[in-house]
Amino acid sequence: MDNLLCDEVWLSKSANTFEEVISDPVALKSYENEEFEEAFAVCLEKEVLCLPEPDYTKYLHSNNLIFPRCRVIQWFIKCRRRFNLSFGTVFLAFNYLDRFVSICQCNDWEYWMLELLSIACLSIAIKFNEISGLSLHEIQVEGLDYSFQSNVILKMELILLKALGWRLNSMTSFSFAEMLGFDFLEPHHHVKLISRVTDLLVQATLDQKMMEFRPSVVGMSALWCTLDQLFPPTSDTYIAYIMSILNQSQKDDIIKCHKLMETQTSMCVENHHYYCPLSPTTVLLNTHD
Amino acid sequence: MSSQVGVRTRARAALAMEAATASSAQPSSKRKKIYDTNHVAKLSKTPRTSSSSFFIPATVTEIVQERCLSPTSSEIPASCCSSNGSIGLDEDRIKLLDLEVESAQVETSTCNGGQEIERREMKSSSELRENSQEPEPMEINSHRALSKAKAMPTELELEEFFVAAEKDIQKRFQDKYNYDIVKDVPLEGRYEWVQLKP
Repeated sequence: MDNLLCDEVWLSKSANTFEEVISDPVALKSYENEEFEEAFAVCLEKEVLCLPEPDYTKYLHSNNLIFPRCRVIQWFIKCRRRFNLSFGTVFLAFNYLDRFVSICQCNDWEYWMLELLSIACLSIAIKFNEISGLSLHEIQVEGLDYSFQSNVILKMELILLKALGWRLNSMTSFSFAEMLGFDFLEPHHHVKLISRVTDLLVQATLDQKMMEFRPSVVGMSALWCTLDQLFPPTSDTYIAYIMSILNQSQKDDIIKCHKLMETQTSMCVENHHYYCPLSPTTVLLNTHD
Repeated sequence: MSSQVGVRTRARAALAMEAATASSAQPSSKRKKIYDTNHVAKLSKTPRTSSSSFFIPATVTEIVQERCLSPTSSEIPASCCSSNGSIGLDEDRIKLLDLEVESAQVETSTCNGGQEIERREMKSSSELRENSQEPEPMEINSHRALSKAKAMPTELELEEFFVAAEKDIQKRFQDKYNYDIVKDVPLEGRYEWVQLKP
């Protein structure tokens, strides 16, 4: 998957400007396009196996879990910075959390349960995706209201693994953005693109309006917004190519998600708040409580 | 050393006893109350944590010194543990106060989520300062001591959570394959199960 591009083609283009490089996806030889499109189709099929249950957002609402979920998502983000974890790890943890909550629908969720689950999600994501691990004591250093003994966390991890059916290699919005965007750009363009895309993806994770969209849709929309902002001349060509390999339903979802993301982005800039839930419904929910 | 271990065990046992008694008395209402107090606690604890990170008040230091033979000894954790046990009753009062503060804040909020969170934290920290003047000195000390210790659910609560989760997982499997593993009996549904006789 990471080696979709031919090394020879890549190296021969390294001296060119960004505009010429970004047009590569469209200009690729037919067999390379076919390889990419096949891999992309496989990822879309795989995505379905690792999603939360339908009506997950509604379930969060009815159980007053919107705000607590935001809190633990923010805790994941803090841990990412603190322990220098990859964004891939953090987005896996998001995925495990949402899948478990939608599967094990306890009647009375309490915040300590969500914290215990979050520790287990992050611990498993680290073991799965990082090279070096973290002890269960280190993970609990900061940002939590509760502390748990190691044996309790290990038991939670085992229950989590059973609930997830041991399917840990989830396709997340980050992995789609990584696949579609980062592999097609020269390394010196990565830093700016990645930081912007991941900001959008984290905000989307916190925004309940975005939850109705699949990770692939969110990932592609974030990439679209970022390319529009950073590299406008080449964005249209590239997005047109990606759209050409999708069906109409997927296109409609992306256009809808992209529009919503642009709106939320402008709101975010005005408020100067990052990693905060922007949806007005969150306020109303708290008010009703 | 063994006596310290004994102290911890008794404290936890006492807490477990209280939780069991309360839950057996009124299970449904108890659960709701627990949820509310926890909800309040998660918000109110944030400013305390931030304030305690700057410095330790003199009164807290005195308490620590009184209870320990020497400041650097390993007995400090034991005394903290025992003090948590003794503060159990006060903890409920503090949480109730925070609950009232919480409801007041929610009623007045008209901002978007981000700003609301900030203002809530600011208000709660200022409320804490106001409240700290009203109670007696003993409550002040116990109140601040709480800000260091992290809460821990009881073993009964943990076990209930795990059992409920396991049930949901089994039910999910049962629904998916229409087969009851526990009773070893096929159920109505998508798959047709045929018994094999070796």
